[in-house]
This record gives sequence, C-alpha cells and structure tokens, in this order.
Amino acid sequence: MPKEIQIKVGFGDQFRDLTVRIQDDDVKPWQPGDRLSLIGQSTPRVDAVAKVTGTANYSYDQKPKGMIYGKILRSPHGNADIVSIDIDKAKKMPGVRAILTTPEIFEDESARYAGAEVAAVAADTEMQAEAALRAIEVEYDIKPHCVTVEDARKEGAPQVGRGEQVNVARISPRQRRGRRGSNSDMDERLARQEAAVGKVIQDSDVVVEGEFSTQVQTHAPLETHGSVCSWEDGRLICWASSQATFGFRNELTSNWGGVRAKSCQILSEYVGGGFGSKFSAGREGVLGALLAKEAGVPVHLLLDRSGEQLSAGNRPDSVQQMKMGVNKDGVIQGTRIRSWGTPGTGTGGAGAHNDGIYNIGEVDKIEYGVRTNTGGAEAHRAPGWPQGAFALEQMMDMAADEIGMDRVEFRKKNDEHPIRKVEYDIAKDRIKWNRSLTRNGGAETCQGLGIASNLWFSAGGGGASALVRITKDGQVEVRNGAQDIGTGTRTVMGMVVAEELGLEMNQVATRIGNTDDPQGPASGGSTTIGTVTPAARLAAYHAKKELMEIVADRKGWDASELDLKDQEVWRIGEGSTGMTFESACALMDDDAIEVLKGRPRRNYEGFSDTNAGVQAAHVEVNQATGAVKVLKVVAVADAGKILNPLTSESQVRGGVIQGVSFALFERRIMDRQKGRMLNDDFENYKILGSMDCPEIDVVLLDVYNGKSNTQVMGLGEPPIVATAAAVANAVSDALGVRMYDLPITPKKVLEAIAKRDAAKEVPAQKKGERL
Amino acid sequence: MAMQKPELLPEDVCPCLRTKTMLLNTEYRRSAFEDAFTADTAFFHCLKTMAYHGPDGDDVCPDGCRPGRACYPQPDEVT
Repeated sequence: MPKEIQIKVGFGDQFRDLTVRIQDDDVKPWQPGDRLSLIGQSTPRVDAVAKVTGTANYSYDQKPKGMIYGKILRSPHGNADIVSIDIDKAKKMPGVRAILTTPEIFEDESARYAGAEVAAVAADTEMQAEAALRAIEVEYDIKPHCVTVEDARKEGAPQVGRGEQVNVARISPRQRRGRRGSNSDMDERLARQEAAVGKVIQDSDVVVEGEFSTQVQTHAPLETHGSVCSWEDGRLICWASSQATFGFRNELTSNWGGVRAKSCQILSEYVGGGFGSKFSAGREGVLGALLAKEAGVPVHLLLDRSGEQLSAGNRPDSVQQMKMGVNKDGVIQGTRIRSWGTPGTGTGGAGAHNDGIYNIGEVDKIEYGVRTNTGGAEAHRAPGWPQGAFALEQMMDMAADEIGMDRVEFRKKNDEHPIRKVEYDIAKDRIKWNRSLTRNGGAETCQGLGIASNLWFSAGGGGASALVRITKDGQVEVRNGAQDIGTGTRTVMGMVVAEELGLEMNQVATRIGNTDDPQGPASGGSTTIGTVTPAARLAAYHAKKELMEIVADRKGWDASELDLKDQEVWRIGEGSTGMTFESACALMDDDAIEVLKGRPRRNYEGFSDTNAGVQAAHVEVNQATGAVKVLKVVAVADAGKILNPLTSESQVRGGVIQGVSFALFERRIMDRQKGRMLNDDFENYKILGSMDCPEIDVVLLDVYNGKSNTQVMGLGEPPIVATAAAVANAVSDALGVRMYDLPITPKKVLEAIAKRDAAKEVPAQKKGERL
Repeated sequence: MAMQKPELLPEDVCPCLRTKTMLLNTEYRRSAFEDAFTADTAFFHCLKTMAYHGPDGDDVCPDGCRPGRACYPQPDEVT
C-alpha cells in the first residue's frame, strides 16, 4: 500500500508543500535543510585515477588466456548484392581458426553501403586475420548508388533499397503499412492541417521563414564497438563495450538471434563512450561470439576506426524548412515545418525535434526519412534535438529581430517552463548579454552572442534493483549490473549508499557493469542515475534498518530511535551513542546483512515532469579567414537534485564540447561518385580539440522535484541540445547575416560575408533576414 | 535465461524486432515503447539480420513486422 507523506518541492525561492503518495517501503526524498554530508558535495570519481593512469581495464584491454583476434571484411561498393563468397584460400592461411560469412549468419545477401559487413575471420594475430580477409574472394552484383539526401530525392534516383522500397518515406506522421491504418485518411487530415496552419501564419503580423541543414555526425567514441568473447563450459562470457549490458545479453541469448547462448554474462566494467550507439550487440557482437565458439578460444573483435566510422552509427543529417507567423506582441501564432534526413539504408529515425521547446502556436509538421547508401544511423545523444534546436533557434532570433523585440524576451514570451524562466536571466547575466561588442563592422574580427534552450523529460523509472551488503567486519558493498558510460554511476551509487549509512565514500565499494548482478537500466534517455540511485538508497536504508534492529536488540534500545551518522550510531534528536559503525556491525550473528531492493516502478508527483536549461555563447569571427572561435559558453542546467556537482558538471561540459564540435567541425563526407565515406578516420574527421574548446561556465540549479527518493532528472543528453544553436546564433549576431548550415566552416562564413556585403548594395529581399 | 519475447512487445509484432526504448526502465516504458512506434527518432532493427531490414530485405518497423510477412517466425522456430 502506498503511504502519504508531506514534502517540499521547488528550487531557489520557489518552494511549495506537496502531499505525495510513495511506495510503502520507500524512504522520503531528501528535503531542503537536511543535514547531508556527501550528497551535494563535489566528489571526484572513484575511478578517476584508474582512468587517467591507464590501469582501468576496458573491454578493448581484455586478454583472456589463449585469445585470438577477429576482423571484419567490408564491401567496397556503394550498393551491391553478394553473389558468392569463396573462403577456401583464406581458410588455408597461417593462423586462421574460423571464418564466417554474413549471408550465412544474418540471412542477408545485400551490401547496401560501402562498409557493409561481408565476412569475418578469427586468427592467431591481427596481421594474420587481415591477410586472410584479403584472401577471401567475393563476387558482387554492383548496383547504382546515391549517398546524399539531395541525390536520393531526385526523380529517377538509383533505388537504395530492395523490392518495392522507395527512397523517401513520410516518418511523422508515420506512413502506415499493411493493415494498420489508412493512409488516405491521414493524407486528408494533413491537407486540412496544412491549410489551417497556413491561414494562421498568413494572418499573423509578421512571417519569417528559412531552410536549415545539419550534417551527419558520427558517434566516434574513443573505444570502438565490439567485445572480447569466451565460451567456458557452454557459458558465453563477453567483455562488451556496451551501454546496455542486459540488452546486449538479451540479444545474445534470444531464441531468435544468431547466437542463442543458453547462459551468458556481460562484463562492462569500463566503457569508452557510447553516445547512444551501443545499445545493441550489433553484427560485430554476434560475429565475435560465433567466431569464439567456432575457434574454441576467446576472440577479441572490436572494430578498427574505419569500421567504427563506417558502420557503428551516426546522427542523421537534416534539411528543415520552417515558416513561422508571429504577432507584434511577440506571441508565435503558427509554424509550418517540413524536414528530410537520412538514417542510412532505412527511412526511420531521421526526425528533428524542432517543435518541442517553445510554444510555437499551431503546428503543421511533416518529416520524411530518405534512404541513402550510407552506414546506418543510431540514436545519438539527444536524438533529433540538436539538429531541431539549430533550426528552431535561428527562427526564434529571426522572428525576434523582425518584430524588434529582444531575443531573450521573445523566448520568454513563448516559454512557460518555470525553471527556464529563471535560467534565462542567469545566462544573460553570466554572458553579459547587454555588453557592447564589435559586430558586423569593418574590423578584421567581430564578436557576437547567441542564446538557445534545452528540454528534457526523464526522472528514471522502475526495473532496476540494487544489492547492498554489510559484513560483520564493517565492509560495505553496493552492486548493480548497469554500466557507466561517463555518467559517474559508480561514484554516485557509492555516494548515495555512504550517505544513507553515515559513512565516508571510501568505506563503500561499488560494483557495476556485470549482468550477474542485479538488473540495471540501459544508459539511454538520460535515465541511468535517476533509475539506479533510488534503488541503491532504498537497499541501503533497509540494510541500515536491519543493522539498527540488531544493535537495538543487543543493547536494549528502541530501533526506531536509532540512525547512522558520522560513522557512528546516533539516537535521533540526541546525538551519538558513541558506538562506531564497525562496533555495530560486529554485533551481527551472521556474516553479513544483504538487502536487495527494486526501485519503485512509478515516479511520484513532483515539481515538474521536465527539466530545462539555457545556454549562451560568445564567439569571435575572423572576417578575413572565416574562422570561428567560440570564446565562452554559459550552460545553465537543472537535473532535479544534484547529487554530485562535479560529475554533473562533467556531463554538461561533455555535452557542450560535443555540441561545439557539431557546430563547427564534425561532418561525414561522402564521395558521391564512388559512394564511399572519405573521412573514416580521426585524421580527416575533425573533432574539437583542446585548443578549440571554449571556456565553459556551468551553472547547476538544485531542484527538489520529489519524483523519487533521490529526485534525479536526466542530464546526459540535454546539455548538447542547445549548444550548436547558440553558437550559430552568436555567429549570425557577429556577422549580421544568418547562418543556415552546419557545420559553420570558414568557407561558409566567407560565403555568408560575401552575400552580406553584396546585399548591402541592394535592398533586402528576404523577409525575416537581418541584412 | 533466454528471453522469449521482450516485455511489452505488442502481441503480434515480430519477436525479432528490437528498439532502444525496450531497454529503458522508465516508469512510462509502456507508453514510451508505444511512442516509439510513431516517434520520428526511433530506430528498429531485426535480431536475425542485425540490420534495419529483415531477412526478406524489407524495412524493420512496427507496422511491417507482423504475421503474414515472409520472414515472420513460425511457431516451430521457437526453441
């Protein structure tokens, strides 16, 4: 039965009392004014030293006894079907232990992009495996290809898919297939919507419009995809680079998968980044497991950098056409949106969230997925949001300028989020929004400011458990099988347990990334900390209760009056009893107390179901070279209760860095003639380096939202949403001309400057553009 | 240990269909999963091909991965 409790929810000076129903065995969320010794304190990662000294063992580093190496053969053709594969010569090569072909394993004879998997070899050394790959003879039926959205949308474009698959499909509202739903009904509804919203826009005081495009960004994690697989007495053990240990295991044990292991353990103690691309075992995971089975020894199959860039995922590109009607009082009346993007050889998943942050009036939105002969996209840190925010935030500035309203005030006018309303002012103050800058003048360099917003919506949820073990000699351990892809899970779980037990951080050991431990979540949707920490706190709370009952029984005290603080047993309201934690543990009859608790499935009613965020950027543009330097990004973020400001800041900094990199540098370059990716390495795929990194000023708001006993909201993804948009707005502010395409390369800047200067000679033609 | 079919996968959707949302243990997982069927940023893959197309070459998607499709698993495929 749920129980009712009274809590305070809110932040800053905006608190209110709330009666909430919580699970009957759950513990009350921490309240303002509670005496906490660890929670809210910046605490270095417990694995920081191991990571920076290279002693942390990632999956890539594993070397079980007898391990050999797996390599993957990839198609060099933009679009082909596999006619035959001759492995006879390769099988006889030195050191070769196993060879698999993808038509055999994956029931797939197509190779729809340059980089598609064709075969895999396991051999004693990496060089032997690569030599064997070269000896495999493949006959292809080569087909015409197209690798850009522009080409694939053309009439008569080469068909990317097979059968009756067309290159362009409506993905939102989704084009119905088979017996589910009527497309003609939907077409009629969309036509009515277009007419109605079109009239709203037309009747508005001001209309602005633009076409915006963003590029394909690969995930580019430092540790590539794959695993080291070993079969031991019929059990498959995988050291996997995964952001979903239990999901990875499910794919390898499923009755319908290619591996069908009866028993499987996934180990992901350290993961070198995932950013959304490591939920599935992938073809490389299946091939690694099957090669190890066939070879009879452990196999190391983690992708090389080229394979990673070609096949392991990317953020889809986008072309977004937007038209917005605004009244002179600053209220947006309606918005028309059409977008196209390529997720690779499929059509789903290429949408852009350009309608989710502000109230943009009546909306007429249709999105299309465009099939191309390119490596498949995957969820990429806030899927669809950075590209959508880029277009939306340009439109917000254009509209504000058109009606002569301050750009921040215009946003406030169309934004009802209670937290973001405060965050705007913090960002304005920290970036010095009203400062005087050299803009759009004759000087060689000019500067500008830009602002943009985040939105997120996850407080975690049920389905995760934690095991807390307190031993008779005072050792404490907490376990959960989820991985840590940079969230600081290992550290924060330990902090929560130490806080509940009144201990120091170094008195609690944390074990994660092991599917033999209690169920944990995939690291997706920014839900990891919000999901595992309530389970950890609940398990620690009940372990403490058991310990206090033992102490009370032995000492003749009332257990309900006891608590643990400062490593001692306290009487609530009175102070320390003088009994140390170790002395209390020594009173146990058994060797240990073990408590396994599941996180309450439902989140509680709280302050807000969403978290917000505002970012402001200050840039300098060299008008002679076109080079953009981001000088500073102010990132105001909220994520419920901030358990560890240091790891939270780290999340925000990571998002901003990846966002600036998206704004200025990263892009997949395809050779339209050959159908191949040209920059499938880190030499030619430019990622922001240390010299490109701006000053990042992180401001964290501590929000008591009451959604769970730790009150955590998601923070991994939201910080990347606004960054590129804010940078682009700042560049436009500096130059006095709108930037429509990402990344903002020197070439595009110089072209924009030339366009601006040419336009000075004639009156502005395009409504909404600041010239 | 082998999972017969992911929890909350609608009854007649192919058991080979996978998407990220299946792995997220959110309180709103049911609605989130259903949302994934119409979401514009959801990717689906097939356990057999480990690709965005099924063994028949057509797209993996909630509407399409239904009984009647050539590659839809037969009952006797279940081990």
